[in-house]
Amino acid sequence: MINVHTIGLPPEDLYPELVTFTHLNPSPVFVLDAQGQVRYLNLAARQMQQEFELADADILKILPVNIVEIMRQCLESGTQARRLESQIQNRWFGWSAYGVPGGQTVYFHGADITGYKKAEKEQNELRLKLVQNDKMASIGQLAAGIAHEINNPLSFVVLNLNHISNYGRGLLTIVEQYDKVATLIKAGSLSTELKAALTGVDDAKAQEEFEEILDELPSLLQESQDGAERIRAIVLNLKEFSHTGEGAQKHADINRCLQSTLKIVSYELKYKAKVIEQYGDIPEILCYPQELNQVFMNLLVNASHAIKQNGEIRIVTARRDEQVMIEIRDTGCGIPPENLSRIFETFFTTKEVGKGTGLGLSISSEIVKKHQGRIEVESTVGVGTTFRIWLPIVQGGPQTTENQNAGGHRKL
Amino acid sequence: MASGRVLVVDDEQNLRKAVHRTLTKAGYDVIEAEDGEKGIAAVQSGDNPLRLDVIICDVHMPKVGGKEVVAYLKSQFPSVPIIVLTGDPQYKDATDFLANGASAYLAKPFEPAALVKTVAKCVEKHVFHH
Repeated sequence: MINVHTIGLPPEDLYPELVTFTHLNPSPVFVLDAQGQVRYLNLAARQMQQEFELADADILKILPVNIVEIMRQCLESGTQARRLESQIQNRWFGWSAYGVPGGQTVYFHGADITGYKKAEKEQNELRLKLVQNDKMASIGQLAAGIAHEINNPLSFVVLNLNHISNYGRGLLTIVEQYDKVATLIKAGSLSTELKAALTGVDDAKAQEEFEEILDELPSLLQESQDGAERIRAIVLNLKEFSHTGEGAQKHADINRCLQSTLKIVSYELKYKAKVIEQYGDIPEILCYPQELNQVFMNLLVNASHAIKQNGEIRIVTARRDEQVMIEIRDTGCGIPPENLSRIFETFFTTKEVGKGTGLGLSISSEIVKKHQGRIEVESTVGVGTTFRIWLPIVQGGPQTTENQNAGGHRKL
Repeated sequence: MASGRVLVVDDEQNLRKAVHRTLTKAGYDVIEAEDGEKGIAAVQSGDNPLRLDVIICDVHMPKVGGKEVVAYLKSQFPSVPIIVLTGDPQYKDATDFLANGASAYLAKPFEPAALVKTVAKCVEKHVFHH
């Protein structure tokens, strides 16, 4: 990196040529005065003006929208503003701005970064797709547990409905007999006829086991409702989980993320392990919640695969200074040292075909990196494995380091 | 006179109740248990501990897996037919269970008629053997 303050200014006899270079520079150059009036445009800037068919009054539309703020900063502190972006008619430009303290003009230097922006967008979409695929793969791994979890309530709902429909028929038969009684009463008929009709009611009641219907029907309905509700909740959880992230950052409560992910895995987990949840008092963090959920899912599914029976999974969250720590600890089979260094490698898996893709942990570590966090693992064969994720509470905004690769955006 | 005595082992109370009702209606005596051990205890504490015609057993339960439960029940009641219930039916599981002593394999959710028919068949076989 070159420090502007430590290098000498060019020899004065070069000034005319430097001015010519600036003028002919293929990158656009704008020089504005403190009032925002254009003092100078180089040739490339003029060409841009023609290309986008902008009147002189509209020429600043090429520059970033917040130029007033940028210029104020540049003129006050004499520093430079980098990684500024502007968009005009489907094209993207990256800008640097320079000023001298107490100076009267600000110098804008631009570069076309449309290709870079397009690649960035594609890369982002590709990554989202990968995360989504991984999500679907983990649901596939949990399918058996989920099917069981749906089929259990479904079985008793089906059996109960059969009883309910029999009881329904019985009740209708009894009501028919009552109806006969009612008709007789309306017609003012004789007590002997009424008596006979009432005997019909009693017979129907006995025949259809009326007492049993009274006893059983409410609980049959209640249990069936509970069963249907359980199925509804599972489907809802699945839908929520499989939802594609919007790809936008938002503030999210990590404890809640863990709880909702755990729900999906628990269909499989609950038959193998006791889950202990120790959620600490942690602030919401700016993150991609759908993607973090996928990290938690991968770790929990792995923990579940590592445990054969009667295991324990402990989920701990805590705040440590300016970081949130998430720990998932299992009492599973552990990872042998020769594999431990490879687990984050893409396509590395020790699971049998159809059980693992070799992508889960590599995607997880990518996601954690994207959050400017880190993921650690400790494992002892036969004792268990602990994964620990550290996420910064205050993040440096969306990462834009890539911009440095774009022309005209080099850090000076 | 009941048509037979059935032990239902499932960790899901509502399912046990539903199976219980269905089989009671079909004329069977039903004993419920939430796991294999409790099932055996329940059978042995009854008034006629020797008589058990069919065991219906879920295979997806906490603590002890279905395979162990079936093996255990088989060791305790070698001649009693076992109907395996599963919410996650898989061909390989089915053949494994049938090879290891189960008499029938019923995938959840099942129709009440299918349950009754399967139980009846097993009881018939069991009675025939004795």
